[in-house]
Amino acid sequence: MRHLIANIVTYTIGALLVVGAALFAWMRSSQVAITDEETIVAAHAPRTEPGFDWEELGRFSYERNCRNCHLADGQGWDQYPSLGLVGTFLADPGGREWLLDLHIYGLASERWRVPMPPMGHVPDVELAAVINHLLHNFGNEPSPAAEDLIMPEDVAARRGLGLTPREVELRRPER
Amino acid sequence: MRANACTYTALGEAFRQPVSAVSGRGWNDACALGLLPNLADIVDRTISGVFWIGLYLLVVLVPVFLMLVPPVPSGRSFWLELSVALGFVGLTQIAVQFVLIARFRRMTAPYGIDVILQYHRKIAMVAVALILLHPTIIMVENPSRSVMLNPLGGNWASRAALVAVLALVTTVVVSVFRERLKLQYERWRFFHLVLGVVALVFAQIHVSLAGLYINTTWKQAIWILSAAAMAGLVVWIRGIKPLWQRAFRWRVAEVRPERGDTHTLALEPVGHEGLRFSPGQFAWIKVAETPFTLEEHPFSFSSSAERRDRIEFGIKSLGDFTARVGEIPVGTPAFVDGPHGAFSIDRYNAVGYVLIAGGVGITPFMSFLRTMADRGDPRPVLLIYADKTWNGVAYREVLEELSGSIALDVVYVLEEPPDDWEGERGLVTRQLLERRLPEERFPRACFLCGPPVMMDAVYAALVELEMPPAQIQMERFTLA
Repeated sequence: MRHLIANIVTYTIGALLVVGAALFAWMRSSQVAITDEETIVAAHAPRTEPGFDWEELGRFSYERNCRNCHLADGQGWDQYPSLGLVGTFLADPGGREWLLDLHIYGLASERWRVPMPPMGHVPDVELAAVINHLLHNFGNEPSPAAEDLIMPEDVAARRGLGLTPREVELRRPER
Repeated sequence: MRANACTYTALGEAFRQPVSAVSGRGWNDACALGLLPNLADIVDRTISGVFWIGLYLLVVLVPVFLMLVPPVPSGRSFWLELSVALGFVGLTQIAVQFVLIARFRRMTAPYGIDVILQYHRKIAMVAVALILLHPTIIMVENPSRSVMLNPLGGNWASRAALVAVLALVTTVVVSVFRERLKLQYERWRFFHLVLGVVALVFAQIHVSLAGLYINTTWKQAIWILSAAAMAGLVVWIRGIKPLWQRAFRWRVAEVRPERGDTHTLALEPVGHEGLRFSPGQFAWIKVAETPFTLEEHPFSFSSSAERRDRIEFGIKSLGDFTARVGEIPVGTPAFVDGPHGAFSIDRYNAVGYVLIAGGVGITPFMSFLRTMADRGDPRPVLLIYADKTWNGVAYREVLEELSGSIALDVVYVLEEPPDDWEGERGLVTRQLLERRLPEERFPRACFLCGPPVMMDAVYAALVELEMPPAQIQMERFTLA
C-alpha cells in the first residue's frame, strides 16, 4: 500500500516540478516580477521632463540588465565583450543607429559566440539612459558632447524594424 | 520516534471514543492487544505525511521563485527561461536528496524509510533528466552555444556545469549498474557520496558564476548557504552522528547459527538502556571497533519488541558482510542506527494477520510472532512460509514452539520437498492462497516479505483474490 501511494506521489511531485518550471519560464518571459505596485509605478514613471536626467536611471538599468554579463566595471569576461570601445561607433557612418539596433534587436556574431539578447522590452527612456551610461563610463572617455547624447526619441525612431540578431550583425558598420 | 499506539493526542481523541465504547473492554486493553485499528495514529501519520511533502515542495520550488524578486535581469524567450528553470528545479531536487538520506526519523516515519529511499532513487532520475534538458534546450535554441560542451571552449561557469553533470551521470550509471559492474557495496557507497557532493558543489559554482539569476548579494547568500547546508548534512551523517553513536555502544552477545545459511546476531547495550522498536522494523548496524566506517548494513529485528535490552537480527549469508557473520567473535563492538521502517503489526492493526514469507523474509515475522507471544496477543495468525528445502527452513523449531503459545498456523511451501512431504510444494500461487487463506480473510492485514519477484507475484495473486490493496503491506529489502 505504502509503495503504491509512494509511486503516485513520486510521479505527482515530478509533474509538479515541471509545471513549476514552466510557470517560472512563463513569468520570466512575460517579464513578471514579484514586487509591489510602488516599485513598478516608479520604474515606469515617465522621466522625459526637460533636461533628460539619464545618469541615475542609466546606472540603475546597467545594474539590472547588463552587469551580469559585462560585469560591474564593464570589462566583460570570457564570451562577454568589454564595453570600452562602444563609444568609437558614434564616429562611424550609421554607427549611432547600429548601436541602438543592437540594443533593441540583439546581436549574434561568430566572434563572441554568446549572443547579445534583444533588450527591446526596455522602455525608450531607460534604453537611452543606459546607452548614455555606457558612453560615459568603462573607458569610453572622452565622453560625447551633450548634443550627441542618445535621446529617448532616437530609440523610438529605431523601433519597429523587426531585425533579428543575425541581421543586426550584417549591418555592422564597416571599418 | 513514531507515536506509540497508545499515546493520546488531541486529534486522536475524537476517533477513540466511539470505538472504545463498542469494544466493551477498556480502550487501553484493546489497544495494548492491538485489537482495534489505531485511527489516531493513522490521522497523525497522514497529517505529518502531508506536512513534510508540503514543506518539501516549498523547499524545492521557493528558491526558484525567489529569482522573480527584483532586481531581476530582463526575461528572455520562454524556452530559454524554461531551460534555466529546469536546471534550477533539478538542482534543488538533487540538494534535497541529502536530506532524504540523512535518516531523520521524524521525517521518514510517516512513510517508512524504505519508501523514502525508493523515492530517493526515482526522483534522482527525474532530477537528472531535468538537469540534462537544461543544456539541451539552451543549445537547441542557439547551436553556437554547443562550444560550451568542450571544456576548453566555454567559460568557467560552463566548465563547472560540465563537472557537475558528469558527476551526476556517473552516479546514476554506477548506482543502476552496481551489480553488473561488480562494485563492492561499501566502495559504491563511498563513490556515491563523493560524486553527490561534487555534483552539488560544482552545480552551485556554476550557478554563482553564471550569476544571471542570483544577481544580488542576498540571493547569492541564500543559494550558497543552502548548498553548504546540504553538503554539511554529509558531515552530520558521516562525522557527527557516529560521534554520537559512540555513546550508545552495543556488543555482540551471541552469534547463533540457524538453518538455511542464516545466523542470528544478538546485541546487548553497553552502558545504556537499549532501544525500543516496533516488531518488523529494522536498523542499520555497524559491527566494528569504531562507528566511523562505511560498512553499514540494514537488518530486520528478529527478536521480540518487548525486549529492549537484547536485540537480535536474522542475517542470511548472501554478500560480503553477511557471509562473514558467523565468524564475528562475541564481544565485538557494534553500533545501531534505528529503529526505521513502517512494516509493523503495531502500525497496521487488524483482527488477525496473514504473513507470507519467502526465505530470509521470515526475519521481521519472527519479531512479529515473538512480540505477540510476549504480549499474550490472542489474535490469529496464518504464516505462509516458502523456502527451497525442508532442512533450510530457518527458525522452524522456534515456530513450532511459538504455535504452542499464540494462535499461529504455519503453512510451509517447499520448492524442493523431500519425498515423503505431504505439505504444500512449488511456489506460492493463487491456487495455493485460495486454498489456504482463511474464509474471513478480508478483515485481516496481510504482510509480504521475500524476494522481489515473489512479492510481486503474491501481491498480484492477492489482489486477484479480492484482498484490498490497502491491507497488503510489503517490505522491499533492496535498500542499497
